[in-house]
Amino acid sequence: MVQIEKLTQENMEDWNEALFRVEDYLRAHRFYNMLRQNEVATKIIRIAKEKYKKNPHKSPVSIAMEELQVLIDSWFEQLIDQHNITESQIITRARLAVFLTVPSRLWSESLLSHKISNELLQMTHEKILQTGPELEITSMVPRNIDFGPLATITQKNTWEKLSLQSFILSIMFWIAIFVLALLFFNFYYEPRIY
Amino acid sequence: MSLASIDSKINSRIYTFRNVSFWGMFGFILLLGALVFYAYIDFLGITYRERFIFFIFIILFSQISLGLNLSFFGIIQFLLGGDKYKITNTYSSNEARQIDLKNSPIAVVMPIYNENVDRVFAGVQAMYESLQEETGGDAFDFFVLSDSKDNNKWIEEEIRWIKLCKELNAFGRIFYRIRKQNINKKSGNIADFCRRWGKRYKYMIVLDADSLMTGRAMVKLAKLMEINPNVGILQSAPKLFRGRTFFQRMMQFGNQLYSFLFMTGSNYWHLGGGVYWGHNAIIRLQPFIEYCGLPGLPGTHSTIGGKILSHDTIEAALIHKSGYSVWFAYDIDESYEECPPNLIESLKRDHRWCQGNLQHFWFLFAKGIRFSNRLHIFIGILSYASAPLWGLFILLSLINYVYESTYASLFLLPEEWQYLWLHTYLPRAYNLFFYTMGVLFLPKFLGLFILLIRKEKRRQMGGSLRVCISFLTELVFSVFLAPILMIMYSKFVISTILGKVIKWIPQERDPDKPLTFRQCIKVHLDQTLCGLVLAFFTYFISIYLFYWLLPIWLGCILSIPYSFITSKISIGEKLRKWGIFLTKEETEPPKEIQRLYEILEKDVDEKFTSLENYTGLIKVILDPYINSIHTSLLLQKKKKEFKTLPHTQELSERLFWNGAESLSTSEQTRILLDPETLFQLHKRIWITPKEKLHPWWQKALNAYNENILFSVRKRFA
Repeated sequence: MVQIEKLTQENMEDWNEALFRVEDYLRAHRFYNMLRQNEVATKIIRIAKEKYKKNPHKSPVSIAMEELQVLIDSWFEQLIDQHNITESQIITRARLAVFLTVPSRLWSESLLSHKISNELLQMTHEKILQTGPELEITSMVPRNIDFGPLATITQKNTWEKLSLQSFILSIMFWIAIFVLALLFFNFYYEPRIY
Repeated sequence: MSLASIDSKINSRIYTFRNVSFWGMFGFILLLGALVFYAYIDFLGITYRERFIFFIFIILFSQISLGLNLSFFGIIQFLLGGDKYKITNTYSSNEARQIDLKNSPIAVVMPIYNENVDRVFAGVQAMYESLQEETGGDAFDFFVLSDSKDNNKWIEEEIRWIKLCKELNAFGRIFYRIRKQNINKKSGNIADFCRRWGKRYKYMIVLDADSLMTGRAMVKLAKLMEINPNVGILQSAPKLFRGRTFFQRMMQFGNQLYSFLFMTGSNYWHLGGGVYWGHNAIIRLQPFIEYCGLPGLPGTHSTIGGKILSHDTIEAALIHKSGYSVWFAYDIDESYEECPPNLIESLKRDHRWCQGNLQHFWFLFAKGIRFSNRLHIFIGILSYASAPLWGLFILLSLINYVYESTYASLFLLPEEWQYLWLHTYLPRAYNLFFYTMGVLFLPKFLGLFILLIRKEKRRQMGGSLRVCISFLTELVFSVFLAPILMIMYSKFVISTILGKVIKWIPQERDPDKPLTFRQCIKVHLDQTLCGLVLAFFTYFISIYLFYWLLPIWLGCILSIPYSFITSKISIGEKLRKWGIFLTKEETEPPKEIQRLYEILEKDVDEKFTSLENYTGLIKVILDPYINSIHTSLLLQKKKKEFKTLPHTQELSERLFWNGAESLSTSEQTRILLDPETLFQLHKRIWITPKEKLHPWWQKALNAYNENILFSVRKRFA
């Protein structure tokens, strides 16, 4: 287990949290070699403790995590040799390169190792993500179809503008007339048996 | 190429002979039905009302006559040793098999929209692996064309794609593209692919999210296209598979039993004027791009006019119009799709299809559309429009019965009426009943007959006894299903006419979410009430009528339990144990199906309980690799001088201080579209001590860490 110098009782909790957070972040990087993980975590906490003495108002978690991120980022930055892109793009690209090129079982060995393999360096220089092959733009335009005379009646400008209220009232009126007519017809022409 | 194509073998004489014989036979079946029905309604003389009923009867009967006719010609072709003019016959020579696909690049495209990500990429993996074992498999590239709007799905798709490419070393062979604007839905998605990359490929195999094709089937389709240069679209006949619920297993059994005859009969008449179902088909890209840009429809009516919803039938019509043929490779095995898990999901799909098919109405009168395509379009429309006609037919027949019996009781002596009833009415009614039942059910019995005489197939489906039990069960359930569909389809047709637009919602394909009884009541209550009214009404009018219409009212009354019971996986699994509804894909699955199951068992999607709605966002912000994958993909699309907008910065602050619950879905999307913000948020969250994090972030961090810890433990277990 990690050997940490004597800590005062009041910030023991904070240092525990810092250690857990460092371990969590290493695990998030799929850093599965537990011995290496402990080694790195101990180193980070030690450095953080030193820095904490100079800046006791800052939280141990923040100090330790900043230290870890610097360590990881500087390692990733070594993989990418480009100056025209931002820091975030370099790290993003390098992380992706590791994810894509290093088999997951070797992550722990490769990540944060002192010696970066040539293969890994080479892979990071290649175009790694292709969401599609090179574009070859062509046009696919809708075909004009002659739908015949029926299509013309659907054109908006061929219709008269009707008032909805008048339309409904008229329809109701004519329905009433038709019903009365049918009843009348039925009454006079249906055979009746007495 | 010295190989003779199928189109060169078809001449006008063959086409004419086949069509005249097919439609002649159809007319004969229909004519007999018309005569029998006319005799029935002419019992006490014919009125205007009865003439109208007769007219509806002809329309309805034409549909079932077509079904019988298709299976009739199907069985004749089968008994004669197979159709002489089927496209797969051109593949029989050794020369055909040895065609090199090196110079014929093929894109396998899978348009998806908020689908089950595990299933999508498991399918791609199984197909890709299968193709690698085939000679010519190198000619195929895969494209997952996403239109997903759900943020979780979007992130999950990216992760799965990268993982898959890494696992198979398939970078540059399997591609993933997401559109943020879903213009023209699925057809727009395909058209977008055509515009970007269509020129690079000679053919395109279109798949659905639930499709599966073996490498053998895909290579065969591609070679058939090479042999037949005039074929524009070649449609395979996908079999239903992977059914687990009662409903799915019943449907896939029915599909295996009956579809072969229907498809053989269908190929008999249309030959090169076939259909396209929108998936599991290969398309010649150059003419497709040139001629199949979908036109807008006349009118601004939102359901009948405007944009075409159901594109496949129209694309077949357009490519055929341009001089290319559309063939049906109905005997290519190993092309599969899945069935909706339950009746309600199936009805939702039917609702979309209904609206799409009714829209095709315009093409019935469009200039230049070929006769066979007009017929396909008409049959498609009728398959939905017949439902309200059937309802109207039942209603008018009841009214007619009441009138006739009242008339008879008033004008005839009881002895006369008794005599007429026994010696005139009942024999005519029985004639009509038996003829209609014959036309309706004979195709099913022919399907059973064909299966029982094929020893191998029979064995694969569980043996004669189990096949017969499965057949009878399917028969009973299909009878009860018919009236449910009648009422639902009628509602769909009426809602379409009234202009109710249906939303583009993703399909629920997961059988693990069974229907609740409440859901079934909500959907089927109106059918139950209709059934009860019909039962009471007929019972009081006449006991004969009550029994005559029993399958209809009982089907309606049972619609709620029907839907509920058939959605159960437990019943489906139990039936499988008993050997009921077995299919070849269950008893002797090809290795691609087995592989699909293996992959699906292995890939369990990581979701954070209680934060499930934010899984994608959490993963992108907290996981260093997923953050890199996602931001790299974003950076490919954005300009190099990409800058975060002030509004996004404000959202980022809100997300940090108040958690994701304080953002709407569109605001979360905005964050997910900004690479710099995501990068900074990742750093910021990890660096902040717990007490300064919002409780939502504390919960998210815990969930994420537990998940990672779980995967570490699993790794060492």
